[in-house]
Amino acid sequence: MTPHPRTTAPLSWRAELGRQLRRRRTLWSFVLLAALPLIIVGAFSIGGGEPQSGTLVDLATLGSANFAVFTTAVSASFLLMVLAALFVGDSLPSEASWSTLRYLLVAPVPRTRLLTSKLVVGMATVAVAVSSLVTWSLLVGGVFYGWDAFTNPLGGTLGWAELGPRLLGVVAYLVVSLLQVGAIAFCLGVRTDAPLAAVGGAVMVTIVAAILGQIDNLGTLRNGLPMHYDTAWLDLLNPAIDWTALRHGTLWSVFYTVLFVGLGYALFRRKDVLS
Amino acid sequence: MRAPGARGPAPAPPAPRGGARPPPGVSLEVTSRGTASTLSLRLWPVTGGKPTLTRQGVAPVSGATTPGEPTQVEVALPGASWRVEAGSSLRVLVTSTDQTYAGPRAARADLVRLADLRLPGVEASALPGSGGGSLDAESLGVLAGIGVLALVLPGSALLRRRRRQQTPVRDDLSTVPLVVDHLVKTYSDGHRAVDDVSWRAGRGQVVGLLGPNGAGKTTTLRMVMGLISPDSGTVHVLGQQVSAGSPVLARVGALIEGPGFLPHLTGRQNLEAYWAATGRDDDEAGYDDVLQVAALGGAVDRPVRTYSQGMRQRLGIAQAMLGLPEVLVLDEPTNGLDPPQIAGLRPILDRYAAAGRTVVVSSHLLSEVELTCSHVVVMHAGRVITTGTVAELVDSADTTVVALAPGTTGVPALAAALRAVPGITQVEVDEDPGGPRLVLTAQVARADVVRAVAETGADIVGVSSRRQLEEVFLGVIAAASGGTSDGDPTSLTERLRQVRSR
Repeated sequence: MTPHPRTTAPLSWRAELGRQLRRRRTLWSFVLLAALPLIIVGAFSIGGGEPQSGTLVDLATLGSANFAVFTTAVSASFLLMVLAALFVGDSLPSEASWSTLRYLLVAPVPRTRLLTSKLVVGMATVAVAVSSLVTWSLLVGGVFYGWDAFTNPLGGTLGWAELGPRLLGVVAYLVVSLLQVGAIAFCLGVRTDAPLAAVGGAVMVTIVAAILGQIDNLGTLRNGLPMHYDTAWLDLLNPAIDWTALRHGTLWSVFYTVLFVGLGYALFRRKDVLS
Repeated sequence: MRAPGARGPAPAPPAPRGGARPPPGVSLEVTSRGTASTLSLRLWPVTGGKPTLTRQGVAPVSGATTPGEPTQVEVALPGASWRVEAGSSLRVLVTSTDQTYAGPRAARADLVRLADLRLPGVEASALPGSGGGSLDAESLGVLAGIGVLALVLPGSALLRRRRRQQTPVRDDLSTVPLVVDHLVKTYSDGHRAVDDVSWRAGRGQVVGLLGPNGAGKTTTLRMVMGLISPDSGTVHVLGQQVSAGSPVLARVGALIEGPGFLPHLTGRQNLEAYWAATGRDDDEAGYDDVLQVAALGGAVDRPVRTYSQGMRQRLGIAQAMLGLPEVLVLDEPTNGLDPPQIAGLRPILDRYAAAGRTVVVSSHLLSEVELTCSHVVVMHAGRVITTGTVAELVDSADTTVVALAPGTTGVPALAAALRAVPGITQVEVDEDPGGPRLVLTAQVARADVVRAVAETGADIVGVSSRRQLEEVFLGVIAAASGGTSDGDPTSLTERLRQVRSR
C-alpha cells in the first residue's frame, strides 16, 4: 500500500523534449532553417539585377547584419509562422494519431500537466528556431558578405554595440508574436486528432486575418487581428525606436496567447479521449 | 531640368500653415558654356566635424542649358531618414563628375551659384506614446482584456482543484483492486454505450470482460482508466476514486484498443519514453521482464514503424506490464497474435495473477476467455448480463450434455419426447458435425436425466456436465435480449451478428 516513490513529475519537460526532438518534423524543420540562409546566398549570387533603393533586399548583401535582417524578414512573414504552428500545435494531435495519447494519460500524466509540458517544449522550440535563424544568418552573412553592421535602407546606420541588444529585441518580439499562432494551433490541436488540421487551421486563421487586414473599411478594427503587427519588429532597427506598434503587437499577442491556451486547457480537461 | 537621381517617393512635406512652401532641396543657378550640363550633388551630414556619405545622398542632374545664360536647377532632397544630431550640419557638394555616373564627353565650363537652400522641417508634434511613456487607448484596452482572462482562467482552475481534492476515499474498498459501480455513459450522439454497469475484480483473479462487439466493453475500460468521464457511477482502484489522471492509475497498467507507439523510436526506446513519462524511477520499470514477455528478439532495437501487428500487440502488452502494476487491464490482448503466441500469453497472465495481482481481459473470443480467465463478466448492449466464475457458468448442476452417435437421425423427435419427461425443463439440440448433442436442463438428478435419454433408444457416446462458454454466452444474451434460447438458433446468431443499432 505504499505509494510509488516519484523521482520527477509525470511527463517532465525533459521527457517531452525527448519525445519531440527525435521526430523527423523537428529535424527537417531545423535543416530547412539551416539551409535557408545558404539558399538565399545562392540566389543572390545568381541574380545580377540593378539594385533598387529603399527596401531591405537591396542592401541584403551589404554585410552580415543586413543579410540577417533580410533573412529574418522574409522568413517571419510565413515560414516562421508555419513552424510556430507546427511546433506548438502538432505535438498533442500527433500523440493522438499515434494512439500514444491515451497511454500518456493512463501512465498517468494529469491532463493539465500534459498540456503544460507540450506547451512549454513547443514554445521553447519556437524560441530556439527564431534565435538560431537570426544567429545562423548573421554568421552566413558575415562569411559571405563581411562583418558590416546594419545600414537601414531608409537611412541611418547601427553599429554592432547598438545592434546587438536590438537584435535580441527582434528575436524576443518575433517569438512573442509567433506565440499567438502557436496558441491557436494548440487550441485546435486539443480539439482534433489530426496534426494537419491543427497546423493548417492556425495558418488558415492567420491568412484570413491577413486578408481582412487588407480591407481599409475596417479601419482601426484591424489592429485587433492576429498577427496584425507582425512587422513591427522592423521599428527596432530605426535609429530612434517608436515603441507604439511594438507595444500593441506584444499586448495583442499576449492576449491571444492567453485566450487560446486557456481555451485549450478548458476544452482538454473535459474532453473524452477516444483516439 | 530634371533630377534623375532624386527618385523615389520624397516624404510629403507637412502641410504648411499659411501658404505653400517648396519641398526641401536646393536651387542652383548654372551658367554653362555648353548646350547641356551634368552635375552631381552629394549630401554629407557632418557630425563633429566628420562628414559621412549616406546612401541616397548622391543625385546626378542633367539638362539643357543655353550657353552664357544662367539656368535655374531645382534638386529636391531625396526621401530618406537620417539622424541629425544637434550641432551637426548638412553639406551639399556639387561636382561635375561622379564615379557612379557617366558624364558628357564634350568639354565645357560651368559656373554654379547657390540660389536657394531649403532645409527639411517638420511641423508636427510627437506622436502620443511614441517614446514608450504614456499608454494609449488600444494598449489599455488589450491590457484590460488580458487582465480579465488572467482572472477568469486561474479562477476556474482553482475551483477545479478544490473539487478534485474533495473526492472521497473509500476505506472499505481499499483492499479491492478494482470496483466498477453503476457506470453510465451516453456519447454525444445519444448512443448509450454503457448502461448501469457494476462489477469488481479481486486479488489473484483473471477477470474476463466478455461480450459481442459494441457491448460496451471498451467504453467501460476507458472509464476505468479515466480516459472518458462517466455520466454517473464511479470507478475505484484500491479504494481511490478514478478520474482523469488520478495518481492511483500508476498502479494500473493498460492496453486499450490496440497499442500506440512513437513510430520513429525503437521498441526499447518506446518503453523507455513511456516510463520516462510516468516520472518514476527507472529501477522500478523492470524492462528485462517485460521484454521477455514481448519476445521481440533483435527487433526490439528496430523502429516500431517496421513492426507487424502482432509485434506491436506484444510490445503493447509488455508496456502495460511495465512496473508490474497491481491491476493489469488488457483490451482484446489476443488481437493480431497467432495461436502459439495466444497460448504463450495464457501462462503469463496466470503467473501474473497468481502473484496476488489482478488481470482484467476483455475479449470476444469466448474459448480464449474460457481457458484464460477465472472469472467472467458478460456484457451485452451496454449492460452486465451475468457475472461469476467460469466454472460456475459452464458447469451448472442442472445442466447435462449428452453426445449422441454420429449419424443419429430423428433428433428433433427425440428432443420433443424428452421434453415430455417430468423433471426435464428444457432440451436444446446442438447439431455438431461430430455428432448431435443434447443439452438438457432438469430439476432431477443427472443420473435420471441420462437414464431418460437412454430409454428413448438413442446411442449415447458421451455425457458431460460442461457446456462450451459459447453456448452459455448465447443463452444468456438471448435471454437478456428477450428471446428464448430454444428458439431458432440461426435467428439469434443472425441478430447478434448485426451491428448494434444506435
